[in-house]
Amino acid sequence: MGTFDQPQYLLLGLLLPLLGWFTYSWKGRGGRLSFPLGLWGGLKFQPSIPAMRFAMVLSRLALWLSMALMVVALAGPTITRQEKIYLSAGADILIVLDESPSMAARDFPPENRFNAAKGVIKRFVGGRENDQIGLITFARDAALRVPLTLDYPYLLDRLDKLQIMDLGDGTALGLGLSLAALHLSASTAAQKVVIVLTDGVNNSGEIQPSTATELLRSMGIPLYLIGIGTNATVPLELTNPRTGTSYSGTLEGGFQEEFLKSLAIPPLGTYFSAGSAGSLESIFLAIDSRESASKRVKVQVDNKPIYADFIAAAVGCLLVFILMRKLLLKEIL
Amino acid sequence: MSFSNPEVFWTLLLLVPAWFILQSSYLKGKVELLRIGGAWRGHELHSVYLLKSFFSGVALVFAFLFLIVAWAGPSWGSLPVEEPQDGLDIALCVDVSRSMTATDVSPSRLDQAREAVGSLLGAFPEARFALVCFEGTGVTLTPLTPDKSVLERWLEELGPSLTSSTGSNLEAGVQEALRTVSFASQRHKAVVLLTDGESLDGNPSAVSRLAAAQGTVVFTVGLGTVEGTNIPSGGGLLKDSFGFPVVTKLNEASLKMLASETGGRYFAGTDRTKLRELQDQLSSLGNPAARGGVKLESVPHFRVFLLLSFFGLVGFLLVRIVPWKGIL
Repeated sequence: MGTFDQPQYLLLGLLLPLLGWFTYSWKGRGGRLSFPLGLWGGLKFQPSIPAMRFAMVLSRLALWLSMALMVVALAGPTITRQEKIYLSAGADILIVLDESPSMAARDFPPENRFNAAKGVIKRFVGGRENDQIGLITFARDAALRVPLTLDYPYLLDRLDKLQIMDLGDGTALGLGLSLAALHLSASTAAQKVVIVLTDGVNNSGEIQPSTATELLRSMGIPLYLIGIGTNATVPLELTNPRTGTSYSGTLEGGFQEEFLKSLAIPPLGTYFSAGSAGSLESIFLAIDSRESASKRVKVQVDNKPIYADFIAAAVGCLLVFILMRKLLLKEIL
Repeated sequence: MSFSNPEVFWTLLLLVPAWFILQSSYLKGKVELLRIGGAWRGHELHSVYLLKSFFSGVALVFAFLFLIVAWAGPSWGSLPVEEPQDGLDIALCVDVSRSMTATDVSPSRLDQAREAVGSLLGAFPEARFALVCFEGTGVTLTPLTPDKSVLERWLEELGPSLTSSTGSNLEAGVQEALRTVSFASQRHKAVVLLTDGESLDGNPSAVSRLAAAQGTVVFTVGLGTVEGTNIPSGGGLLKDSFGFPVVTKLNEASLKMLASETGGRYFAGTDRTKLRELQDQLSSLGNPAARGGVKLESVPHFRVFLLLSFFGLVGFLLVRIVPWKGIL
C-alpha cells in the first residue's frame, strides 16, 4: 500500500500552474524578442514544421513532468507492508510419512496412496503459520528428511522430490515413530505433535510400533495417525528408484486400519482415515486450542521509501528537456 | 554523511557534455541575436543576454546537481530506534568449490571452515541455524532449524562432491543463505559466509544490497592465504586449459566490502582469536538488551537537496520569465 511520508509537500504542486501561466501566457514575460514579421491583423508567426511543434510540446511536457515528479518525491512516497510477527513460539510438529512399496497402490485413482498422503501433508502445511514442521520418511529404514523448520517452501520442495522405496522395501513404522521421538526430545516447544501417514503395515525395523507409541506417550506427545488406503483389491505400479525396475500388479488388503486404531490410544493418540472429511481440520483445531492460550502476535509495519524511483524519473525527464531544447530545438536561452 | 545508492553519482559525468552544450548555445545565441537585433541595439541586448544565460545556466546546472545528490539518498546523523528483536537466526554459507580443497592453511581451507562452523554451533545453543553450501549454485542442506544434530551430520559431508554444479558463485550462495532466514520474525538475522572469496561468476556486491534491505547482517570469514596456492586434484594439481596449474588466492577485498556494506565485519579464518571475536559480535547482535534495547538509525536528508533542486528549476524558469530592462 502506498502512502506519503510528509504529504504537505504536495502543496508545492500548486506553484506549478502559476509558474506555467507566467511562462507561457503572461503578457509581460521576457525571453522574447518582438519584431514585426506578421501581417497587420493577420496570421501570427508560428513555427510551421509539425515535427518542430511536436518536439516543442514534448520538451515542455518533459519539464513539467520532471517538476511534478520532484514534488511527489518530496512528499516521500512510501510503500508500507504489514507483517504478522509471532512473538511466541508455536508447536513443533513432526510428520512421519510411509514410503513403502505398498504406498504405490492406487486406492484413490488416478492417485496412489503416496501422492494422496503428499496432498494431505501439503494441505496441512498450508494451514499452519508459526509451527516448526519436520519430515521423517520410512520404508525398510527411517530418515529425517527435513528437520523442524519454519521454512515451508523448502519443506514442500523436499516433499515433492520424495519417491517410494528411496529407503528400500519394507515398512518400519516403529523406527519412524521412534526417530520422531528422538528429534522431538531436544525440542523446547511448549507443544509437540507427531502426525503419521501410513497404510499401516509394519514388517521391518528393530522397534515395534507399540513400543514407539509407548515412548511418545511417556513424553506426553500427541500422536495423530492418518490411515491411507482402502481394503479393496487395487492396482499397484511402481519403479524402484535405485534399480530402475518397474513393478506392476494388484494389491489385496494391505491396509490395516484395525492395527492403526489399536496404536492410537486416547487421550494422546487419535486415528483418522484419510478419506474422512474434516480430519485435517480436527487436527488443526486440536493443535490450535492448546496453543491459543500463549499465542502472541504483533503486526509490524514495514516501510519502504520509493522516492529514489521518482527522482530517477525526474532526472530522465529533465535530461530529455535539456537535450531537446538545446540540441534539437537549438534554444539559445 | 553516507549515501544509500552512491553509484548514481556517475550521472554527474553528464555535466561535462551539458556544460559544452550550454556554452555552445550561448555562443550561437550571441551571433544570432546580433543578426536579428541589429547592431544598433546589439550591445544592450548582449549584456542582458550574457547575464540571463549565466544565471539560467547556473540554475540549471545546480538543479541537476542537487537532483542527483538527492537521488543518491544522503543521510547523516542518527536517531535511536526501539529494537525489540531478540534471539538469533544464523545462516551458515560455506563455499565448497574446488579451491576450498587447497591446503595453504592446514589441514585445508574446507577443514578450517568446518571447524569454525562447529565452534559456532556449540557457542549458540539457543540460536536457529541453516546450512547452505555453494559452488555454481547455492544449495540449502539444512533449512533454518533449532535441531543441531542434523547440522553436525551435514558438516562431515561438506565437500566439492556435494553439489553437481561446478564453479564458484558467491552471489548465488549468499542469495540462498538470505532466503533461508527471510522470515518475518523477532529474531536478529545473520549470514556467516565462509569462503576464500574467489567468485568466478556472480556479482557479490548485488547481494549486499539485498541483505541490507532484508535487515540481515553478513559476516565474512576468509579462508586461505593472500599469496595463494595450487589446488590438489587426484594425485597431482588442478590444471587450467593451457596445462598450467591453477593458482587460488584469498580475495579479502570483496569479502571486506560485502561485510561492511551490510553492517557486518570481515574475519581472517586462520586466526583463532578472530573467530572468538566473530562469536562475540554474533552474541551481541542477538542480545539488544546489552545495547539498551535501541539501535541507531541514520536519518535520511534527501529533501533538502530535492528542495534546492526544485527551486533551482523555478529559478531557471524565472530568469527567462522576468524581462530585463524591458528588452529580453
